[in-house]
Amino acid sequence: MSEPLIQIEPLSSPRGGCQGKNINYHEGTFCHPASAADVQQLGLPYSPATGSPEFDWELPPDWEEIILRGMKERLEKYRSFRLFMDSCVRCGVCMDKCPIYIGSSNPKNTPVLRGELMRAVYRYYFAPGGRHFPGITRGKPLRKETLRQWFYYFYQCTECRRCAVYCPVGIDTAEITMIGRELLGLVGIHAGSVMKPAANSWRTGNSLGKNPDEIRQALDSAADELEQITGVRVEVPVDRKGAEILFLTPSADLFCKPHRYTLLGYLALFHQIGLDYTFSTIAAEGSNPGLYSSHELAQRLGAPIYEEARRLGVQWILGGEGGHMWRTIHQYLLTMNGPAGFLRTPESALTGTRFEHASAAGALHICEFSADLLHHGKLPLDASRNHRWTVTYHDSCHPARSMGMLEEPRTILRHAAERFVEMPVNTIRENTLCCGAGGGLDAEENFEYRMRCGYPRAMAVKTVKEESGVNLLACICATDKVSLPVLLDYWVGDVAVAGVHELLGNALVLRGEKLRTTDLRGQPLR
Amino acid sequence: MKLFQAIAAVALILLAGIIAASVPWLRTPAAVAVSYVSVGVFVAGICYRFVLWAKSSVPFCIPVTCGQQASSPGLRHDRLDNPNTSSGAALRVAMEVLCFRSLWREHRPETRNGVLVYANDRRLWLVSIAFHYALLVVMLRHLALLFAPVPHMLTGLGRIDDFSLFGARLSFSGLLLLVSLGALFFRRLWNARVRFISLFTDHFALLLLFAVGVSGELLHSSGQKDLEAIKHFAHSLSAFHPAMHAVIPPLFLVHRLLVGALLIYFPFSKLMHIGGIVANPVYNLANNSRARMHANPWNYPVASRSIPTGEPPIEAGSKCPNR
Repeated sequence: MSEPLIQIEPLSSPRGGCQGKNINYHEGTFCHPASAADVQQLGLPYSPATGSPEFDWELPPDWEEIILRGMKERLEKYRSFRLFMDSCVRCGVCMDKCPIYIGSSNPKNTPVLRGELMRAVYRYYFAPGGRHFPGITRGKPLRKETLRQWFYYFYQCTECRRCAVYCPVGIDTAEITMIGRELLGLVGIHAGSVMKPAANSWRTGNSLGKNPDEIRQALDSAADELEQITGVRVEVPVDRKGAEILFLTPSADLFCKPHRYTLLGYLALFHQIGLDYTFSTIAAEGSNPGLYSSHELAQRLGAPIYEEARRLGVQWILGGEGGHMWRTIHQYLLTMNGPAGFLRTPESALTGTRFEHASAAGALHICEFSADLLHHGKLPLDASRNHRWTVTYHDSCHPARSMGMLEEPRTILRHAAERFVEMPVNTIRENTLCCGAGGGLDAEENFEYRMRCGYPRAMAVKTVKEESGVNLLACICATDKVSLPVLLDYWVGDVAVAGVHELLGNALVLRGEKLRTTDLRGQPLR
Repeated sequence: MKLFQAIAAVALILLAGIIAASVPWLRTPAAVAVSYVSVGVFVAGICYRFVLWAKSSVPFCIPVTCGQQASSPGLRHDRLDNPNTSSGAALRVAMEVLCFRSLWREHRPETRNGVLVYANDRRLWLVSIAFHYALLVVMLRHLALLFAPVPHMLTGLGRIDDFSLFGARLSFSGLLLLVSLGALFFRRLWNARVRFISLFTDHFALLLLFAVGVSGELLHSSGQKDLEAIKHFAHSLSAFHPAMHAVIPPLFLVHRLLVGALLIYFPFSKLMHIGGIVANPVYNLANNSRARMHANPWNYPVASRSIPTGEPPIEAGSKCPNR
């Protein structure tokens, strides 16, 4: 490992005031605008940008009116938005809770000042006296520079909701970020790292833009791989009508590494318990990149899930390891694309557990499902096959802070791994730290940003690596599995990243399996 | 700069109070006018704010969960930080309002010997809770000005709260209010980060409250005769028969004017942050969005890739259905 190039400044004392104009637009820290092709495929307004890093957009002539109308509409539609515009007391508690602030020491890159970008405009146009006493209310009129700052800072918020855990008045800055991005979208300003997967999802149903053939091939070759490792030929049903369960997972699980090892884990598990399920080539994506852009786009891109479930005639939906995927399924799917009366309460045939907490949405997280199987002792495990790993668990932001699924993955890890260690208490569970690439910020051009934003997480991993010899970070999010290997390579070194179900798949003793010589990664066991 | 503007603004209000108080014939009418106007604006302003909040809809179920969800029977559900019922959510809101639950989590990351560590830091929690409860006691004690005869509860509260020092009658609540306000103000200036994000309103609110507190405590320690006069005057106001010729101490008018400014400013400022807690879907919604459908009142049909129903499963080699 080479020395990290980025210097993390100590959390120092900022000088001057927050309403100053000088912003150091610094390449490597922000996302680039979207391409016309992606945005137009989605039928959204598009404004071309020139000049980098200080982008200049060719906006529609009435852009101010569009933004203000959009703000007014959203103030009426979202109580959260109006409340968060009104109630910030600027106590500063959120600042050093934000991972990008810890990693960048830029006081403007904090929840309070990110929100303040929006609040200043709100106070000017929508608060009593805002336009007449801007000296008192500190409102600021809308300028082109405002939009540039919005783009710069709203696409540097990963919407991880960590600040909302600590805010004494409960302001969830992710909500402001989401609406800020929506407003930018109204005048045709979008980020490429969001629009690319969104356009893919719209076209093909999955964010990687894979067609049904490629999905079938990926699943077939996964079954081949699993057969080589275990000697057991598993069947992978695809688009099978009349199956009991539709299995939905981020498409990255099929095509990327280390996601793919987790896929092998799923396949082994489903085979072992004889699950009556099917993959779908149409709803082949659990993650919903629409939520990174606007609520409407999330609703549009989420629609195929229930439509496909209805078409295939399944009874409930089982969802794989995804972070934002579960924010959308848990908190938005039913409201946006429901009701789902044609589905029934998920039920585990083996244990008899009825998952009442998922009764209306008909969607169950695979960790909830597996943890229940383990709780009832239904899975024969040989944890020694994970002997080489000392495992720690990274709570992926949304399953932790938008669902509260904290114990299920831990239950699985305690069963499947020989050594499981927790990271420091302020970095796990509801206090978990972002991987640095959530919220559609998993781009190439913002490498420095991702390393900085993930720095606190990396330091927590480093702590347990040095104290307890941790060499594997387990997580349940497709974005984590892309971003954390790079992050840990950069700051820590020699810590691998795996899905929870990869470890379960390693440990799971399949009926009729041969003596395994390798784990799911193809690495020798002893 | 912002700080000096705030100091100037509070000084201006103070000066207006002192000038009005020094003109005997103006004193009582001014107190009457300020009282009615400020309370009127306060009540109307708060209603306006609450109506605006109430009119805004809550389209999605978006609680922030801070504990284990209710899922499998084998796992211990954290009812307090991740409630799945409305009564549980109400309890969560109550915990936020009464105990400042979120602020209790406050900690600060620091680099010690090259390691990023997180140290619990409950100073802000302590100061905030001291300030708000002191304010509550002070306001409760002011209720004595509305009722004649004064309820026993309030006289009892007064007996516990009051003490005398070198012959002056002081109150614990008033002193705690001033000390905690001082601490909050000190933090705002001393902590460079907080100073950086502070706006005019942040300094102004603290200074105005401080001025209110000082004038109030001085008034509280003034003679029994003055207090009786104020009480009579206040009763006349609350009965809507203002005693225009009542003789009231000059200091009372100063205090009344500062409180009036606070009441008028309150509904239109960040001091309304209580709404952020009680009306906030992050706290007051139960985490049951998969068990029960949360309806979006303004839901509208959106364009979607529609998949024709009743169609045979797509064969390998076929193209994805486009919209």
